[in-house]
Amino acid sequence: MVLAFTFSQLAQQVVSGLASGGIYGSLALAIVLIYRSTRVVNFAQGEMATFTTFVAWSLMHHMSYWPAFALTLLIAFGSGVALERIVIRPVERGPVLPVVIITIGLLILVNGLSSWIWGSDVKSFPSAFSTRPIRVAGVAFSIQDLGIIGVSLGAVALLTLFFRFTKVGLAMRAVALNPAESELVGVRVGRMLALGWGLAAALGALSGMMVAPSVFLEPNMMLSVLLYAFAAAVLGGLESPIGAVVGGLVLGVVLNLAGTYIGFVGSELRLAVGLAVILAVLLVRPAGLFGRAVARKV
Amino acid sequence: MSLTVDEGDFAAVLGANGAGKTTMLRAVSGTVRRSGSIVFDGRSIGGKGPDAVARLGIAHVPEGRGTFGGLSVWENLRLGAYPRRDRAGVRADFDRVERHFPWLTTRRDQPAGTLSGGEQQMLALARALMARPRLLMLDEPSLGLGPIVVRSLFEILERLNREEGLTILVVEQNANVALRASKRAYVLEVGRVALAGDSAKLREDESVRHSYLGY
Amino acid sequence: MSGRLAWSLRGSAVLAAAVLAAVLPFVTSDFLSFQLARMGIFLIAIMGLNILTGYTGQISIGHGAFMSVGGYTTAILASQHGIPDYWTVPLAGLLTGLVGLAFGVPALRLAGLYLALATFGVAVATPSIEKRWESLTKGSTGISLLSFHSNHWLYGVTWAFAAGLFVLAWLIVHGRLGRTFKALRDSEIAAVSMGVNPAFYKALAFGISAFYAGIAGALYTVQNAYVSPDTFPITLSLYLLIGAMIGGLGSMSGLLAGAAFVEFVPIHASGIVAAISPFHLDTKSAGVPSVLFGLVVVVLVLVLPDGASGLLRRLGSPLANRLYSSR
Repeated sequence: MVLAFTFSQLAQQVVSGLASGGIYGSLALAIVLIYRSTRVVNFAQGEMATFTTFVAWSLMHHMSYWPAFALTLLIAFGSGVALERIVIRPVERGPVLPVVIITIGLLILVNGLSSWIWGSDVKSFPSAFSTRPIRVAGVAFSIQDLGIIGVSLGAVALLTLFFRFTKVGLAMRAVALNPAESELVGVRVGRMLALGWGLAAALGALSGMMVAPSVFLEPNMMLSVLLYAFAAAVLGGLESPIGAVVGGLVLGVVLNLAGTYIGFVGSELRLAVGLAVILAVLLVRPAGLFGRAVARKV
Repeated sequence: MSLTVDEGDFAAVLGANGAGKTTMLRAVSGTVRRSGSIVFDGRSIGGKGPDAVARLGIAHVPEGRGTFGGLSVWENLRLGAYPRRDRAGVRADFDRVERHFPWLTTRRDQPAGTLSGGEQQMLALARALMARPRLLMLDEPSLGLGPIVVRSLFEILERLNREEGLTILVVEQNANVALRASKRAYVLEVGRVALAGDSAKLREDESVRHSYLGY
Repeated sequence: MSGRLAWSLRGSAVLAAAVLAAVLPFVTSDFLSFQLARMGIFLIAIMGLNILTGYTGQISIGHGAFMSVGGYTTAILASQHGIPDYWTVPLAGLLTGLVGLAFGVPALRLAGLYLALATFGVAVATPSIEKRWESLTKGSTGISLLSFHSNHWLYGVTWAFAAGLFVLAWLIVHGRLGRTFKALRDSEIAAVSMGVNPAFYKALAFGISAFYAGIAGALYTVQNAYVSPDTFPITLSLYLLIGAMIGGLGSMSGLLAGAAFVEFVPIHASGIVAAISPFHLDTKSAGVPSVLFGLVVVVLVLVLPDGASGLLRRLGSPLANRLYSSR
C-alpha cells in the first residue's frame, strides 16, 4: 500500500469526490423519491437518465447550453410522468416482483432505444463550466467540480423547499407516509405518484448531464453510476432523501480517496468498493445512516 | 341495508363487533368496493373513489385516527384543507379549529406521532373540520381512549352539531356516550338495520338497552 | 379426467419430446444446434434461479456472477490442470454451489428488494473483480480452452445435463424440500412455528441455484472454448431473471418457454421489427434486440403477471391444469 499525500492533493481529491458524489446523490435522490412513495426500486433510473442526456446532446446542436439543459429537464419530467401512468400504474399496488421485472424490462428497452437512436459510439458532451482551474487558498480546484457541486446542491435545495413549503409537496410527503389516509383528505394519490416519477426523471437527467462531460456519452454510461447511486441510497437509508444526498457525497469522497490512496483499489475496483458499501450497510445497519430502524413486520 | 342521514342530523350507528358498522362507513367514503345506491346530496357517489368522495364534502375520520405521524400538527391540519382553494376560508377555519382545540396552537410543530391517543383523536377531528365538510363521519372515535377524553370529544361533537349545524354520522361501540350526544340512532346486527329511532327514546328504553346494546 | 390418464398423457408427451430432442441435431443445421445448446444452458441456469426466486421468494439479479464462477472454474481446471473439459463441469457446479451457499448465509438478512439490490451490485462488480484478479483469471485477456467440440456434441451434452438437472429439480420441488421452500415463501412465520429453520433452507436454496448456474456457466465456457470478464455481463443476469419470470415463477412447466425467449428473441429481434414496422427503420442497429426484448417483457408483465405457465393454465383449463399444475 502506497500512502503519501500532500494537503493540496487531499483537498483536490475531496472536492472532486464531492463532485462525483453530487452526481451519485442526485440519482440516489431520484431512486429514493420513487421508493418512498411506491416501495419500488426503479432499476431503469440510470438508463432513463442516459436517454435524456442524449436528448440534451441533440438539443445542444440547435441551441445553447442552458436553454437545452432546462428543456431537457422538462422533457425528462414529462417522460417520467408518462411512464408512471402507462407502465407502472397498473401494477403499482400489487406485489413487488412484477414491478421490479418491469423496471428491468424498461432498463433493457431504454438502453436499446438509446443505442438505436444515437448509436453506440462515444460522443463528447459539453460541460456547463470551464475546465480551467481556480485557486482557492493556494490550492487549484477545477471549476467544473465546483460547478457540479453547486448545481447538485442547488437542485436538492429547490426540492427541499418544494417539499417543505408547498401544498403539493406536503401532499407528496403524505402519500409517502400513508396513501390510504391521504385519499381520505382528498389527495389524488395517482397524480402524486406520477409527479414523483417526473421529479425523479428530471433529477436523473441532471445527474446524466453533469457526469457526461467527464465519462463521455454512450448508451452504457450510467450503469456504474446506477450502482453507486444504489450504494448511496442504501447508505443513507432508502427512505431518506437527505440520506441519499449525504450518502452520495460521502460515497463520492470515499471512492475517490480509496482510488487515489489505496494502491490495489486503483481505478478498476471502484465498483467493487461500491458493492462492498452496499453489502456492508445492508448487513450491519439496513436502515442506513438516516433511516428508521424498522422491526420486521409480521 | 338502508340508512338515511338528513342535513343537520347527528346520527349514531351502534352494534356489536362484526356487525358491519365500519364497513358501512368505508362503503360511503369509497374505501371499499360496494354495490347498491349511495346518494349524497342528491348525487350518486357509489362509483367514486375516496379522494373524489372527500372532495364532495364528506370527511371520514377512520378507525385508529389516521393522523400522519411523521408530519407536524400544523401540517396535518393543512392537509385537511387540501382540496380547498379559498385561502381566506381556510385561514378562518384554522382560527375556528384553534378555538375548539386551544392546545393545538402550542403544539403546532410537534410531530403528530408524539401526541397521546386522545390528542391524536382530537387532531384527526380538527383535520376533518379543516375541510369544512358537509358530512362528518367518525369511526369508533372512543377506541382506546379514557372516559374523560371520550366525554369531552362527544361534547365537542354535540356542540358542533348544535351551534354550527354540522351533519355528523358516528359509528360507535360505546353506545351510552353515543346515545347521549346524538339525535338519532341505528343499531346494526350482522349487516342489517335491526333498530332505528330517536336516541333519547332508545336510551330510556331498558329492554332495548339490554338486548341490543348490552347494558 | 382421471389422474392416471393425465399421468400417462404427461409421460408420453415427455417421451415424445425426448425422442424429438435426440433426433434434432441430425436434421438441423449446425448453427441451430449451437443455438439450441445455448438455450439448454439458459434453461439450466433458469431452473436454478426458479428454485431460488420462485420457490423461496428470494430475488436474485446476480446469477450471471455465479455462472462466471462456474465458467472460470472450468477454464482454469481444463486449461491449467489438464482435466478434460466435460469432467470439469460437475466440479464447477459443485464449487459454485458452495459459493452460493456461502453467499446465502448473509443474504438471509436481506429481504426482497434489498437482496435484489445486493445481487445487482454483485453482478455489476464481478467482472471488474475478475479483471483485477489477474493471477487467477488472467485479467482481461481471458482464458482459452484448448479443445473444441462439434456443435452437435455440445448440444447432446448440454441437453443431457439439462434433462438430468430437470429431473433433479422436479424431485426437489415436488418433494419435502420443495414443500418446505414453498412454506417459507408463503409465510415464513408459519413455517418457523412448524419447526423449519429458515436460515438453513434459504441458504440451501441459494446453494442449489448457484450449483445450477455454475454448471450452466461451465457449459457456456466449454461451448465458446473461452472465458473472460466480459463473458457474463450484468445484462445476462437480467435476462436470466426475466427468463425465469416469463416461464412463470414457482412452476416447472414454463421454463422452456423462458429459455427459448431469452435465446431466440434477441437474435431474431431485427427480423421481427423489420417485418412489422410500417416505415423504414435501421433495424440492423445494435439496440434493436434490446428494444424488442424490453418491450416484450414490459407488455408480458402487464398482461400476464403469472408468466407462461399462468397462460398455459388459463388457456388449457382442465387438461393443462392437470398436466402442468405443480403448485
